[in-house]
Amino acid sequence: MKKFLQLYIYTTLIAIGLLALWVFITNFTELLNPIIFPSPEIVALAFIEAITELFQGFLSSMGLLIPAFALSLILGIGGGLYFGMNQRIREILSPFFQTFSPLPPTLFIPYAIALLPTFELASIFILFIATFWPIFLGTIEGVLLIDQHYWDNAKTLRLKGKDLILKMVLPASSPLILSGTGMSLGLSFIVLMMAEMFGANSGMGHFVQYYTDFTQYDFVLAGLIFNSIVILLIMVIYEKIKKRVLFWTNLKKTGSSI
Amino acid sequence: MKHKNWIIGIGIAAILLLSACNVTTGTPNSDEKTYKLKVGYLQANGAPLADIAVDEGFFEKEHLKVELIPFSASTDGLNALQSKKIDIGLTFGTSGPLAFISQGSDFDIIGGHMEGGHPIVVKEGNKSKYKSLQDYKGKKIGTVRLGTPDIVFKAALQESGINIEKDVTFIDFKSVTAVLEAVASGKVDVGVSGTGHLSKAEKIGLTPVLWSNDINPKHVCCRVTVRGASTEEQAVAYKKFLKGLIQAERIKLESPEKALKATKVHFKLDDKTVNEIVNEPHLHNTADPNKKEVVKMWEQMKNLGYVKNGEKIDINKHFNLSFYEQALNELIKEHPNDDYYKKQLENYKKQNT
Amino acid sequence: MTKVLERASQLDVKKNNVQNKIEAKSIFFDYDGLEILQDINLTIKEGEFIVLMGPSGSGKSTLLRLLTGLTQPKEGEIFVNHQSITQSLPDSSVVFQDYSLFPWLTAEENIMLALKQRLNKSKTKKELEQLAHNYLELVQLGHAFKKYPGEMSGGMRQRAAIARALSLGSDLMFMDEPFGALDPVTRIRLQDLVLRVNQDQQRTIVFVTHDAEEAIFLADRIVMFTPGPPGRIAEIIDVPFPKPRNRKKLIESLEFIQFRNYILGIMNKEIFEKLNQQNELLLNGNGI
Repeated sequence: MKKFLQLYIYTTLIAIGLLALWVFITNFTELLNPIIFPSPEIVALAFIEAITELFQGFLSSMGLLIPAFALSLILGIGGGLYFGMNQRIREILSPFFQTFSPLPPTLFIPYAIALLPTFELASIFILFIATFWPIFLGTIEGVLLIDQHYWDNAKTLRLKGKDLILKMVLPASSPLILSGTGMSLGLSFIVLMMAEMFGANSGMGHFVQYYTDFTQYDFVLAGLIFNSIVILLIMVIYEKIKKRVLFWTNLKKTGSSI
Repeated sequence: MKHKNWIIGIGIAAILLLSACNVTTGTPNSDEKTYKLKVGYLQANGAPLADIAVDEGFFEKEHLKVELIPFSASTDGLNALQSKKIDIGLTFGTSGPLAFISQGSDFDIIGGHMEGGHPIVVKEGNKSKYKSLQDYKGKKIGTVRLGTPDIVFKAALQESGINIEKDVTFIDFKSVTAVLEAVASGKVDVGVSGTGHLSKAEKIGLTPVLWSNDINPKHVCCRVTVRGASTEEQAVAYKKFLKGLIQAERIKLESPEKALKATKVHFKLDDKTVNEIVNEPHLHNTADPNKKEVVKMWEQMKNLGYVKNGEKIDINKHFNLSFYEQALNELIKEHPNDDYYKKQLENYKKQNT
Repeated sequence: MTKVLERASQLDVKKNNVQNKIEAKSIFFDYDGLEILQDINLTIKEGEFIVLMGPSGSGKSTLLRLLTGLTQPKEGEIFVNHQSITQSLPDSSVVFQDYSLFPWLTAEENIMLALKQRLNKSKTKKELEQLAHNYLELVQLGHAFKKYPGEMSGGMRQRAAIARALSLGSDLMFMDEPFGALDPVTRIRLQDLVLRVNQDQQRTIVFVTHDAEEAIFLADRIVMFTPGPPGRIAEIIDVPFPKPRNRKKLIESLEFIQFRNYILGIMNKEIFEKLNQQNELLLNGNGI
C-alpha cells in the first residue's frame, strides 16, 4: 500500500483535483448546463441505482468480448506467425492487409448483420475485426524484427516446426505481439459501443449508448465511470500478464561473476 | 503443455464456427400452430403497440411468438430486415424504409405504428419569435437528415415558398440528442427534434414551437415494413401480428395507463419519462398503413432530392394492404357487436384507397 | 626466429596423415556491392585448433559464418567432411559472442532444446534433463541449472553456450569472438576450458579473435587476414609451441614474446599498407 501510494501519489492527487473541480463547477457555478454536466452526487446516485444493470452489462459485454478477443488472439498470432515466416506469401498479401486494417469496424456492421446468423455473432465479428489487426500486424512485425542471432541459433540447433515456433519465434516476437494485444484491448472497449448498437439489450457500450439516446447524462456518466474502472482493472491484469510473459527482458544478475 | 494450449485454441475456434452454422434463422417453423416473428425496433422509439399486445396476450391468443430486437440505428435494423435476420421492421420510421426502397430494396409496407409527435424546438426565450413558417427564414436549423420530421418540416417550408437551400441554413447532426444540445448551446437557432425527447429538451431550456402534426396533421411516422417476398407462414404471421397491433392501439387509446405499464419493460427509464414518450398527446399510435400519406411523403422525398431516380420505382408496388384488411375483417367477425373495428375499416378505406 | 619456424615444420609433418575437416576453395563474398572476402583458400585438418585473426572489418567473422553454412558465398565452394555445404548445414556447433542462448529459457532448458533436436526426441524429458545437467556440470555450472541467461554473468553465459555446443555432439565447433566481452580472469579460465575440449575430445575448433595472445595460446595454426574490405588471407602461420602449453612459462619465454611480435608485425604491416593506400587515394583525389 505504501509502495502504491509512493508510485501513484501524483496520479491520485490529480484524480482528486479533477473531482474537486467537477464538484465546484457543477455545485457553485452556473458555467455548465446541469443536464449535460450533472454534478458528481447525482452521478453517484445514478451509479448506485444502475449498479445491477451495469454488472449485467459487464457480463453480457464480456460474453461478446471474450470470444472475439480469443479468436483475435488465435488467428492474429497464428496468422501473424505464418505470414511473418513466409516472406513470399506475405509480400503477395500485404497490400490487402494495408487496405483492410485501417477500415473502421462500423463499416462492417451491415455485412456482419447480413452474413452472420445471429446478432450476437455479428457483434462478436465487429469486435473481432477491430481487435484482430493490431495483434496480427504486431505479430508479423514481431517476427520480422527478430534478432538475426536468434535465427542463427535456431538454425545451428536445427530447430524446426513446433519447437522453432514455440521455443524461438513466439517468445522472440512476444514483445511486439503483446504491444499489439494492448492496443487491441484498448480498441475493443471503443468498438464495444458500436458492436452493441444492434440486437443487444444490455452491455457496457449499450448502456452508454442507450442513455445518450434519451439524454440521461447522469446515467451516461455513471456508465462511463463504470467502464473506466473495468478498463483500468483489465489493463492492470494485462500489464501483470505482460510482465510475466516478458520476464526475460527484465532479469537481474544474481550469480557470481564467473 | 503448450501443445495442449494450441489444441484448446483450435477447439474454441471450431466450437465458434459450429455454433455459427447451427443457429436457425428467423423464418417461422411450419409447426402446426405456433408462429414466430422476429421484430426489430428502434430503441429511441420503443415499440409501444407491440409491447401492449404482448402484455395483453393478443399475440399469445393467436399462437404468435414475437421476439423484439432492439437497434440503435434504423439503417442497421433495415439492413437486418433486408438480410432476413428479422422478419418485421416496426419503428424504423417511414423515410428510412422508403430510402431503402428507392435503392432497390424489395420492401413492402403492411401497416402503421405511429403518426405525428415530432416537435420543432427553440430556446425558451426565443419562443415568441417563431409564429409562422416565414419566421424561420435566415435561421440556422439543426436536423437529422432523412428523419421523418426532417422531411415533414422541409417539405412544409418548401410549400410555403421558402427556398430551403438559400433562405435557411440546415445543419446535419447524427442524432436528435446532438441537435438538442446544439440548440441549447446556441450553435443553431432551431432544432428539428423527434418523438420521445420532449422532457429532456424542456429540462435543458428548450421548448416546442411547432409540432409536425400542426404542419401535416396525419403525417406518417414508423411503418410496419416486411420483405416483399413472403412465405405462406409468414403471411399468416404478419396478419396475426397486425391483429395484435390493432387491438393494442385500442387499449392505448382507451386506457393510457395500461400502455405505460406494458411499455415500461422496454424503457429502462422512470415512469414519468416513459409516460411522456408513450402517451405524449401529439403522438398517435395506429396500425393503419395509411398509404396515401406514405405516397405523399415519397413525393416529398423526391422533391427534396432524397430520392434519386424515383421515376423508375412504382411506390404503389411496395404496399401489401391485404394483411391489414384481413386482420381487420377477422376482428369484425370475432366482435360483431363492436363498432370500433367497423369504424377502423371505414377509416382504412379513406386513407388507403 | 629460425628455430621457432623449424619446430613448426616438424609439427606439420606430424599432421600430414590426418584427414581434412574443412576445405574452402576460392571463396568470394560481398555485401551490398562491397567486397568483403576475396579469394579465400583454406584447409583445416581433423582435430585442429584454427584461429582466424585480423582487425575488425577484415572479414574473419564473415568467413566463420560461411563455414557454418549460415550464409552462402558468392563464389567458391566449402566442403566439410568432404561434403559441399551449399545444400545443408554441416554437422557442427556454434558459439557466438553473446547471443548463443535464448534468454527466455533457463540454462538447462536451452541445453535440453539442443539435445532434443540432436537425439531426435528419442529420450524422455527426465533423461534430457539429466543429460543437460551433465553438460552443465562439465563447464562448472552445476549451481545454475535453473538460471536464465539474464541472471548470469557474461562468463557463466559463455560456459552455458559452450555446454550447449558440446551437447550437440558434433566434432566441429565454431566460435566467434566468444570471450571478447569477458574480464581477463574469466577469459583465461574459459580459454583453458576450450583447450581441454579440443584436446580431450578431439574436436576441431575454428575460433575467431583479434587478440594476439589468445590466438597464440589456443591455436595450432593462425590464419592472418589483411585489413579489409576486401579481406584476404595474408598468411597462415603454424604456432611453434607444443601442446599442452603451460601458460605462465610460455608467456615468460623469449620465444613467445618474439613470436607475438612477429604476429603483431604482420598485422601492423598490413594495417600500415592499408592506411598508405587510403592516403594515396585521398591525395590523388585532391589532385595534388
